Amino acid sequence: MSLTITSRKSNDVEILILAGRLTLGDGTGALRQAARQILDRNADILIDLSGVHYIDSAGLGELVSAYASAASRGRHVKLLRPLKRVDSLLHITKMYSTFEIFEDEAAAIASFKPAVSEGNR
Amino acid sequence: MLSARYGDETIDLQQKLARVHSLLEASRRVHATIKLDDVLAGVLEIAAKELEAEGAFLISSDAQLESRARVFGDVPDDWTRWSERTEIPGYASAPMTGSRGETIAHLVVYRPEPLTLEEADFLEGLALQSALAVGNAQHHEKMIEWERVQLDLDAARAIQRSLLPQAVPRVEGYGLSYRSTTCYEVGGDYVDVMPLPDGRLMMVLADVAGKGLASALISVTFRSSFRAIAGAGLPLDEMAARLNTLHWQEGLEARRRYVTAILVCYDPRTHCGKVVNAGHNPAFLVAAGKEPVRIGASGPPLGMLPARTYEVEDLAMEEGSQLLLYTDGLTEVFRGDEEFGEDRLLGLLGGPRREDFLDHTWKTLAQFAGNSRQTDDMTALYLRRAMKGEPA
Repeated sequence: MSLTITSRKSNDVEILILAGRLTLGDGTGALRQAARQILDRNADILIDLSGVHYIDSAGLGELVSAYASAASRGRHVKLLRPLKRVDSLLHITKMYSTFEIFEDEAAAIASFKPAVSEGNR
Repeated sequence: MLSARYGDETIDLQQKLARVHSLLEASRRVHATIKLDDVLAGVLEIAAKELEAEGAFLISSDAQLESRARVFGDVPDDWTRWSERTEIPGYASAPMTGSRGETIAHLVVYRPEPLTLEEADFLEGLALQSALAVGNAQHHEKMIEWERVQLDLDAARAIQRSLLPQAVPRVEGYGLSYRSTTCYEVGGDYVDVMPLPDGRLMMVLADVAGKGLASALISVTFRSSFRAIAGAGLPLDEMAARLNTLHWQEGLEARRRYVTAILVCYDPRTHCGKVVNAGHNPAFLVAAGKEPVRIGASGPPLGMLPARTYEVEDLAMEEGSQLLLYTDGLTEVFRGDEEFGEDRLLGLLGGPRREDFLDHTWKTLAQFAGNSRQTDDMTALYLRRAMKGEPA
């Protein structure tokens, strides 16, 4: 099974809901395109990973690439509810401290507003 | 009267027979060659000559066909503007249908006098035969192109194999070995052992994100950077930071194809060394009779983000200690949904001593995977300190 991406808006944050495998090829290509479109609209992104059961190194590269291109435009990419596989790759590669990662969507959305204190888990 | 009618029919039949003959002959000629240019030239010539037309040409939206010479004889200057939808007098056409039923081109003849029914039949028959011949010729061209790509990949593979350590240095009191297999012709894993002038060993095991040719190209640039600074005697954390910056500066594609790596600088005379893990899966250090130690990452992968810092860890090997550096291609060998995993790999290190540890590991992995195809590059570096009185 490959990757399907759906999106919705909450306040000014666009939530990308990923389901399937985030791996080299179709998966990374789809995420790259979706993230680029949102960043072109100058919005922040919350990536919901609760449906991603497998990720490879290229998938992680794409997440970081989205994070870096957002940062270069003064925007943010944060992660929501990574499953075991993604969580463990983030730990192994020491990328856990780079991303802001949330278990609760409301807290994640609130964190994008500078006035509210960030609820990093 | 009767005889005259029979005479007409005979002439009619003779004409039809002649058309069938010429179509068969035309078919033989267009199928006689496998070269696309010859097929196209043949088709156009046959169409023009058999139908006594002034000229013939092909109209196609296929880029490969459009780039070829596809006109024969005398045709009006604006022939390229011909379209099946504009029924301009003086032209007759038939579609060339590909193997999936798609129209690959239109075969058009330019003849001021309209075609008879038989002639139109002939043109259609010729177009059908031509489509088959064109399809075969295009397939043949792709095969030739593919053979060239395959030769290129074979050459690239030979180069990548030659960039691996040609001989592992003999280290007194130690056994040192490596093994590397790619999942495609070339791969993104890199392993190297460089003896330094002061007697220490510089070792690296790295994994470029992704696999195949793109990752292999990146792994070679990483190797160059590593080799250029490995002899400079820098502390490992500084080396890692510098490799990170060098890779980051290679640009966006390189950043996506970041490198996870473990750098080890080891002195076999003092049995001590240093190690840095940059975003790589943990290395295993197993001392005889003790709990294994995992050497995890102290910083992110190299080249992913600018200006990162790394921490050096000390490494000491007692007699009988084993150090295993490996890429995740080993632990992520799958049997159905079940992966080989770290615990099984550690289990192998806990087994009886064997000189062919890595060969044995690869055999075990192959047995585990059964008929499943290798899905990632697999590379490992293994260092074992001999027990007293034991051959290394």
